[in-house]
Amino acid sequence: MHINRVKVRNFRNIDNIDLNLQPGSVIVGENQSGKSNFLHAIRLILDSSLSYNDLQLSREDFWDGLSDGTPDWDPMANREIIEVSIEIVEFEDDKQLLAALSSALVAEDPPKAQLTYRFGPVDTGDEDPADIPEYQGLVLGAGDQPVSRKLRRHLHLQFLPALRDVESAIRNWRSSPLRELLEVAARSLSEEDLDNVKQAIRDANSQVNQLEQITDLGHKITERLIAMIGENQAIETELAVAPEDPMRLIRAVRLYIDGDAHRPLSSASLGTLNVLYLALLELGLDSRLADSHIAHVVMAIEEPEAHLHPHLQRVIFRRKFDTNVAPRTIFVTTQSPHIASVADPRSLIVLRSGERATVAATAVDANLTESEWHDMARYLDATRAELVFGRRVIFVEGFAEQVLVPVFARALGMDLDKLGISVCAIHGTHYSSYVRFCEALKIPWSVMTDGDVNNSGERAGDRRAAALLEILGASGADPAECGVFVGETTLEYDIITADSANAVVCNETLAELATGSSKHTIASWGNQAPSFDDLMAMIKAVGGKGRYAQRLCLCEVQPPQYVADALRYLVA
Amino acid sequence: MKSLTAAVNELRANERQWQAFLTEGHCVVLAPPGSGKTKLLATRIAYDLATRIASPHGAACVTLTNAAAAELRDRVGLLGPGREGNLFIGTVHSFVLNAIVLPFASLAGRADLQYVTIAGTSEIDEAFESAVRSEYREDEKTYDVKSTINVLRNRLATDVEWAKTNRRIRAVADHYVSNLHQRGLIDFTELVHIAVEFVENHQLVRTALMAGYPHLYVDEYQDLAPGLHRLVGALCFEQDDGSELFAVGDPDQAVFGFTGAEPEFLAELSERHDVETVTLQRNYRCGEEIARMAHNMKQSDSSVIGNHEGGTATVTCCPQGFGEQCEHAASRVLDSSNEGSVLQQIVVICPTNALCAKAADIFRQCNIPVFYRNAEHYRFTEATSFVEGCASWAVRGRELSKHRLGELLSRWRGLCGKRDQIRNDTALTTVLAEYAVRGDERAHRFLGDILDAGLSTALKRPALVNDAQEIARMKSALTNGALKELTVRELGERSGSTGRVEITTMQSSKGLEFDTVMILGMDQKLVPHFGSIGDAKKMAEERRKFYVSLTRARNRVHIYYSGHVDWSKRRVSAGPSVFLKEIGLVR
Repeated sequence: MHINRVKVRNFRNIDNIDLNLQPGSVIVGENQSGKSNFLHAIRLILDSSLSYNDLQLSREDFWDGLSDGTPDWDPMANREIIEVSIEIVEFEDDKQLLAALSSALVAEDPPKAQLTYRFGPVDTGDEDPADIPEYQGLVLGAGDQPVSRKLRRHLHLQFLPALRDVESAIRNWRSSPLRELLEVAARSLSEEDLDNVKQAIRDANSQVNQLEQITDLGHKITERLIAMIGENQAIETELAVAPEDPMRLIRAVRLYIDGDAHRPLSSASLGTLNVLYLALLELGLDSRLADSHIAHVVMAIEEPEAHLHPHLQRVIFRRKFDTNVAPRTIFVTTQSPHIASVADPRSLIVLRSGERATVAATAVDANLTESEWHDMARYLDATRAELVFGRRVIFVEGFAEQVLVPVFARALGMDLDKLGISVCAIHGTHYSSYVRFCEALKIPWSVMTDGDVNNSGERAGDRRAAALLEILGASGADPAECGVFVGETTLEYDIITADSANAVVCNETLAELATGSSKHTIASWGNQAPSFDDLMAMIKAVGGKGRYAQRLCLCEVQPPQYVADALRYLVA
Repeated sequence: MKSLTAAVNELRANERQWQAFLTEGHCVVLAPPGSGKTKLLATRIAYDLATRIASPHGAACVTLTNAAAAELRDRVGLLGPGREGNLFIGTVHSFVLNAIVLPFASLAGRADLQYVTIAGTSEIDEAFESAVRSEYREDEKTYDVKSTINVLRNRLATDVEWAKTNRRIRAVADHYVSNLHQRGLIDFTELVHIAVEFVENHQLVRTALMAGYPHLYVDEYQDLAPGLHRLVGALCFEQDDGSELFAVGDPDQAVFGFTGAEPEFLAELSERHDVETVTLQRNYRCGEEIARMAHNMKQSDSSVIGNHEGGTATVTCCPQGFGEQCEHAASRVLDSSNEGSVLQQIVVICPTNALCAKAADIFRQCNIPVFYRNAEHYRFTEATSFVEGCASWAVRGRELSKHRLGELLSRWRGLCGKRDQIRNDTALTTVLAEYAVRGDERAHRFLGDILDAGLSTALKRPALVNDAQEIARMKSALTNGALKELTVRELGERSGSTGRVEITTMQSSKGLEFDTVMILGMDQKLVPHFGSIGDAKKMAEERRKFYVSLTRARNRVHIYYSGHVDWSKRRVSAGPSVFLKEIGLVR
């Protein structure tokens, strides 16, 4: 089973989104961008632990953009509707799922089911509708007929909220994921085994009670109780190691950590507890799936990264996203680059706060080729998915640009972190797939690339820009207007020739790095820029572009024109 | 409440019932009168639900009438583990509408059907009348056109079968359907056609139904619309993983041939190699003498074993005519009532609705309380029986009446589709409370108040079209029709049948049982009807109707005839019914 599309309308800060989904969805976005609301919208349909009352929303749940601005505006008087729907495919071979979805089938080939949550006016059948109609929130299947919770619960949605108190959840018998596992295990115990346990506990209890000190203590307690409240009302007490009833004993079973030390869970770190909690939960869901109590699991996990070491985040979620491990649907909201970076890039969903409402985009719409997707996955993995966390992205060729662009921005009075601009080095000039990826995710981007003039005077950078424009469907346009900025020659030479002060700074930096005769050569340049070839040879001699760029970062340098343009383009 | 275990153990005592209970795979149970088929069916459904059918899978049980569905629902409810959520019990019409057409309309590309309006009786009559007029002149005889068309349409006749009839018949049928369509209507027969088309031509509809209802139960298979036979074929026998069928029926009790039902379908099923057929033999109801006599009317050669001795049958000739038959029967009822018999254990069976009405009048003149449910006024459906039940609760002793408020409210929620329930519950309870002292008012006001309390809104739900039609008929009968004098109290009395003699037609006597059965009007050319004499197929059905009537009795059968039949214009004397000779009551 696979949820391949989600639509949300008029819900909280979501005006209207319609997303194609991959199996597994990783939802990233800044705070307040609507991640939790998106998850909650899905829960309205699938979370059968939500009560009827939980499905009854209120005035505050309508998207503000519906308002006409008057203070007493009421969306319900306007008969506005909040609607969430999901489309489900690939369920038809599972009889249990088919039965559960049979009242929600909407297309035959390929089979498709649709479940819709709608909070709208009740059709009372009255000829004259009331001024302010009554509202009802219901989950509907095909033909707008309600689908009972009994059927929906077979698509089990397990919600894990962000700040959960894992320790008390595990310790509290009623809410503990351990409870279900213990109960299933207990049900399959044989009478004989239970009797043996019972006998062992009885023996332990009687041995304890044979100890003189313990017997004395027991008597003392009884005597004191009688003295306090009299014979008639005295409470019977008994000292025991554990109750003899094996079922009660099994309920009393607790998880301990640290092997033989048997330390209580309270001594574990929050991160450990979270891992433990997930493991118990998975086991419980597996057993319910195996017993056909549920037909499919949808996990909705909210910001699971809290207290988890980055490596654990990566290990746990790499496994969770692997559909071969368990065929389940997963929605994760996260602020963690570590989690986003191990997801299939196709499964990334970016939410951001638009002017009036949340803007949502899915990476899968980028339509990359299979090998481009693989490249993208490796790139995101290596760069910790920095690109998808940016509000805007500037693509650069290599390391030198990556470290220098923030410096140039400062010179222009921009703070990239405050602006939410990520500088992403793609280590090459193959911008196309990255640009398409950003387009799909609706992340504003710009590209800076070197002019790269060859011996015969041809500018490779211009050719690159034209090719990129063609892919974007803007052939012949001015590259700068589409966000593609081409330098004159190469970054280092463009810097040194950008400004007369730059030449001084660059030469000083090179001189600092240089040894022996190179120092003299640099001194011979004075306050002027050398020739292109001399500069490039010198940079190579003093340790390469990277080292030079790092040192240059410590100085104040003015950006070359195309860099300044690329930055200003993004901010505009 | 009887436990499921106890009910299962009861079946164990009867070898054949037990065999049927234990079958795995498709099963057909041939069940003669009084053989405990309803008990078997209810127990088997409750047991399957408890042990073999896990949610979200469910079961569907198709019955002949709403009343049979209601009884089965009650029985399964009492035995069952409270899992009614995944159990459908209803008539064929309810099944095709609520389990097939409405859920899969958009899937099958017929989203328009979600808002379809089903034609009511008067709309059907108008459409038919105008269709007949488009083909036939005023002076032409057309009395069999409608019945022929009904049979052919109900049988999903092919072009070849239509071609065997008069070309004009087909033309009338086409006109009729397009007349309805022009008004945005379809009838239930077309709805069955659509359901068959959905199931046979849409693989996903079929597999979804098989997944939703891996167990399919059918009661009175011999009398059900042929469309159901097609559905059963597609759902149970088309694929290896089809739904498992458990069908109950009796070819000897097939009395709905006039609707196109064919008892042969049941035989066809029971002869399949992948169906296990169990024939029940023990008749727990009829005394041996009655069973022996009925045997002469029986057509199939399976043997029936009586369970208790005794049983008497008398025949009385009343040469003055049908009125004298009624008077004689009434005085016999008064006599036996004085001897301590309870009236609800007596039934009077007449050949036609008109004669039933006449008998009811004469019995009432003799101060015998009678209960006669005339299908021409309104039929028993969930909604009409609910209104009667409400009247009973309101004016006949509240919780001491046969009904409980909790039960009525739960049915009310079912009808309302659980919309805005607290308000609806309060509205209904308020009406019921108000009528505590208004039992002598006319019943149409009571119905009006219940409609206002939310029933009229509920009846707009597509799932309740049939209920909406019968409530509309009930309303017009109570407002200015034959029942306009009915009081709320009398309306309530219709919901239970204590202290009254029941009067019914032969067809409607199906499924009932009484200590004493009085069969009136057993005159040749009335039974069998002159139109049937000479037609082997129709004669067979007439025999089965008489067989059904006879086998309603536990202990006593009293038969009356006059030797002649009074038609509106003339008296036809043809002696007693030939059937009376066949069973050896007259020479």
